[in-house]
Amino acid sequence: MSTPAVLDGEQRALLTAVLERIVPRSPDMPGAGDLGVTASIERALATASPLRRLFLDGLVEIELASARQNERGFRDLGPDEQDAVLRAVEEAQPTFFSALVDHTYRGYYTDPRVHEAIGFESRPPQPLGHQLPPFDPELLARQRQRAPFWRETS
Amino acid sequence: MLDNGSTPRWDEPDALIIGAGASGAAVGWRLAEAGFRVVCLEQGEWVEPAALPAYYPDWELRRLADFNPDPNVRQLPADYPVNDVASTFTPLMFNAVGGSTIHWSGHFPRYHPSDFRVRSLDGVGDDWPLSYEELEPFYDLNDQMIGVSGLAGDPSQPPRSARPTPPLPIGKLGETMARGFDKLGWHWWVSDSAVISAPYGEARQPCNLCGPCDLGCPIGARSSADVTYWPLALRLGVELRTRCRVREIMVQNDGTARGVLYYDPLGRLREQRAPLVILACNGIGTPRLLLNSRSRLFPDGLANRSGLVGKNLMFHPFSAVSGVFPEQLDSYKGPIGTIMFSHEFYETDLRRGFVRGYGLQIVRQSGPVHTALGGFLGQPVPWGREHHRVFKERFNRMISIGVMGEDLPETINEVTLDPELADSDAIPAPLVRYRLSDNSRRMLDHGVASAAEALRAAGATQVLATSPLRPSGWHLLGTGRMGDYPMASVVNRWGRAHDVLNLFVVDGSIFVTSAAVNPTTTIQALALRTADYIKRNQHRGDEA
Repeated sequence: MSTPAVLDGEQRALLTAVLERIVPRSPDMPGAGDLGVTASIERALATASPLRRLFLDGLVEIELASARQNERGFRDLGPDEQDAVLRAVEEAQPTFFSALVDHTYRGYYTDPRVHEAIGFESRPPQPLGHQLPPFDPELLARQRQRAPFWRETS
Repeated sequence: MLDNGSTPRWDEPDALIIGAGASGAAVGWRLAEAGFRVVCLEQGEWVEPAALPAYYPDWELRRLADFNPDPNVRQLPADYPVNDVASTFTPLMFNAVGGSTIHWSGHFPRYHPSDFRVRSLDGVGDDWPLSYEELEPFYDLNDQMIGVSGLAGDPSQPPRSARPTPPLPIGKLGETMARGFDKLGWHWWVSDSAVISAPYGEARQPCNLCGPCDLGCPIGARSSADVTYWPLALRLGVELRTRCRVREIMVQNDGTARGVLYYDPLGRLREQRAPLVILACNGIGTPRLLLNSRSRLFPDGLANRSGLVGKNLMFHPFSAVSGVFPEQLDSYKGPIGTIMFSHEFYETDLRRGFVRGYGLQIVRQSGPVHTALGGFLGQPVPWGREHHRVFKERFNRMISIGVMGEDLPETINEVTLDPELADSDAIPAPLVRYRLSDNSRRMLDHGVASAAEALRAAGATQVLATSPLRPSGWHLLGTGRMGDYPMASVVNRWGRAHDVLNLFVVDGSIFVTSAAVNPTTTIQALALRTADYIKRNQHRGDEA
């Protein structure tokens, strides 16, 4: 799917760096930045103008916070400094930040590579469904010993 | 089947039903079976099984968009906005043939006998003008008609007939909870589910445990109204006009209903006359329509001489509690909301610090997106360095419990009309005001503690709670209450409006009290009972 241009090159690189801190790379899991979640967020921004405004302003806030805290751009910071900047933005801009986290998770956890890494069979629920053993009525053995305890009304 | 109203079959029906959900479908089928010519107007459309999210890789994202239970999030053409800013709970609903049974999890408990006698037994709320025993044959008929799975023999309930199909599997998640409840000596039982576990009815497949019932059941296993009553009703000649939105109910000089004005699929205003009008629009849609139907005879809204239309709104006080377990539980396999429940704390015990009671309903999890965004609790997994550790701790390792308390009627909780907000046809939208009572708060606190105790007894290493849970307004009740006295109720014991002799209400509006169980079982049983009353009396207006 082609990505409509919502972000310029700088903004896209910044968002990718931010996503990499929202869901960082670990020894057994990919990071959201590396995985291309930026493109899925950009597609969401292309179809919803209030969300686009929120994100474009939010990215500016991240650069401003970075400049305030470190006198450097976000992408030039180390991971700890980047996390501190993001925590400050989370505090100051909770609506933007929760949308950022929400959309990061939406993109990340629909990716088949992530599904494989967490041990989730990457397919829709239908048509295969799932299998579970049939209900075992013996499980209710103790409950059946109990006398009826609903409240009589007459 | 996709009848859009352009070629009316019944110009002069015997009965006109507004709304094609759980109650409209049931009453329509029952009347058609008795030979009535029935027209039903529905603002939504048929849901196409092949288009349901469960077949598509983005299924979890649909829950956040066009299959969200909140109409204000969904904003589909069939939806109307609801101003819920002043409500503790977000009202949830779906507008389609089948109504909210399209996104329903199908938990299908009955009222207890005591639920009909709340004033006599506990001095709160009001008694119903009917008893459990009077409703029981209609509960049974409805179970047979739609197909229910479960197991008779539950000591927390009166004895009941054998369930049409056996219980659904409860899986490792259910067995884990069963051990917890047994360890505490607390009640639990496998749920009655409006989901078939074995072949039943026509063109329906038994449940294949795919999971997300809230996104619609594409195989007809769940007993939503579009796959149960509607095919039968259509075969009997009921004319269902979809994408037809009713603006108001018209009255004639003698104070009876003349019919309705509605917008057809092309947006043209039309009149449909009928000697009998039946409202089945849910506990928000019904008072909205009555309040929008003002006339010289009914300046405060139709059937509202008591002033109680829209008053006494009840949801169910609701909290979500989740336990994190050390082992994998197959927790996204099987119907998400109908597994097992406990009625240990259902009946009144004043030593607990509140009147009436609550149920604990076990709830499964869904896929990875759902887990990351916080699942049933709405508490997202943290971002950053801790993210993967916490996600792995939770994914496929959680059990949730819905704490659902009895709501009691209070006139301050209400549905009125918003002075500004309107739907796409410029019909004023509902404004909902609701606040949790002190009794409900104490009940939820007790329920959250009980749920946490049960989860720990089952082996949870960590327990999380959201109390109250805002997006839990699935049950819309009480805004057109039943009663024997016209000054103190909107409809009589048969669902007929005190003020308008040929107007009936069959949805959850007519509930006197909410009980602490999911209401669709009782909504449909009452609708069938009202249909039989209409049949017996041929809507001549005699009291039975």
